[in-house]
Amino acid sequence: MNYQAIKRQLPALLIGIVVGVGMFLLGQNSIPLDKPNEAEIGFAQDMSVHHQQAIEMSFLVREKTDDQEIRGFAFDIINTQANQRGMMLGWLDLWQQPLSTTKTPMMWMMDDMSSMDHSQMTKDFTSGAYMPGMATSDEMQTLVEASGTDAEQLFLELMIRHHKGGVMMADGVIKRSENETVTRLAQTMVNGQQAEIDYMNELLTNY
Amino acid sequence: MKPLIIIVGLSVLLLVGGSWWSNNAQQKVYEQEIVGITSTIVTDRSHVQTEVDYKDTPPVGGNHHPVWLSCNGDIYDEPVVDENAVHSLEHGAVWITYQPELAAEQIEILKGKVKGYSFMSPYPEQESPIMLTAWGVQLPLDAADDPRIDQFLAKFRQGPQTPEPGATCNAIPGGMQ
Repeated sequence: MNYQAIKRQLPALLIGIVVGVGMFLLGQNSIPLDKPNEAEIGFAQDMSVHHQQAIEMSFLVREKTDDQEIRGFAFDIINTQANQRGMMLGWLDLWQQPLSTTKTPMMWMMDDMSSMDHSQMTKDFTSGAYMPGMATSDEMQTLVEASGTDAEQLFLELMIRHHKGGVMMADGVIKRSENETVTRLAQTMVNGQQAEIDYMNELLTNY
Repeated sequence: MKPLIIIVGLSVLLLVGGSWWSNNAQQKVYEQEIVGITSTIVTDRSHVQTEVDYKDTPPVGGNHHPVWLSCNGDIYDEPVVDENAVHSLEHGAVWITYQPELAAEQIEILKGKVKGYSFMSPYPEQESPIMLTAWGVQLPLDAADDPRIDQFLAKFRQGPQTPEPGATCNAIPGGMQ
């Protein structure tokens, strides 16, 4: 091969390489793999813990009542929140971030927390740290010991507060994220949990 | 001339290879356009036990009964209750409906399309022979072999329109009245 000829064609070769590699990288760079920010990571970690408690409360109430409406509603929460947990844990896995963290929860929206209504702030019963709307270990124990309509009513009261906290957290990440995948799921949580709060308030009028 | 051919060839290969790879890597089904779809923004989504007056036929969303219709590839031979079906749409299901007079072989083709997160039922009041409905979106069709059916199913079964991502299409165990 002629060295001079290669040298003359070098620009064309370089352009080809640059364009080819550029397109390759563009293809690689799909949204979920974008470098996440602190809020997105914190939200995924904290909200999956938050969802887990809603699932646990729902399993508990299903064992304690024969009321078909409450049982059906709890069944819906279990499936939806378990799957959403999986979606958020999947992001963390793709981002190569810890699925469980020992960090203090809610640090990612701390600047909002100071102005937050403190009646919403309860101890996270697993870590002993604060997260909005979570039931305390005492409240969970009361639910474990309750039965029948008492259990139904307590479940509704705890879940309303839990959902209010969830809406707050989802709103928090929407303000802090540009990632469509994250904000779309968070927005469905805001709308969905608000609709469920209204529904539960209506159910509560039966007691 | 030989080096020139090799270099140009290499560049073309990289270009074609790169764009093939990037197309392959980012087939974004959410961005696929499907001709003929009508979209509605639905804001009402409360649980109600009363009859709901829906604007669209079949309805594309709105308030609904607390119980959803099983939508795991279920084929209903009789019309279903709108208020239950709308709850299934909220869970991310696609609802395939047809006029009862649709030819039997057309109905058979449609039945073959009904898989997870979709369900099918006749709908005598609808204006088009076949309708595909997901939460807030609808597509009227004349024939069961229309390629847009597969596109619609790919895009909207648990698609980005789903108000409650992750919700199940399995019926509530033990049912509820």
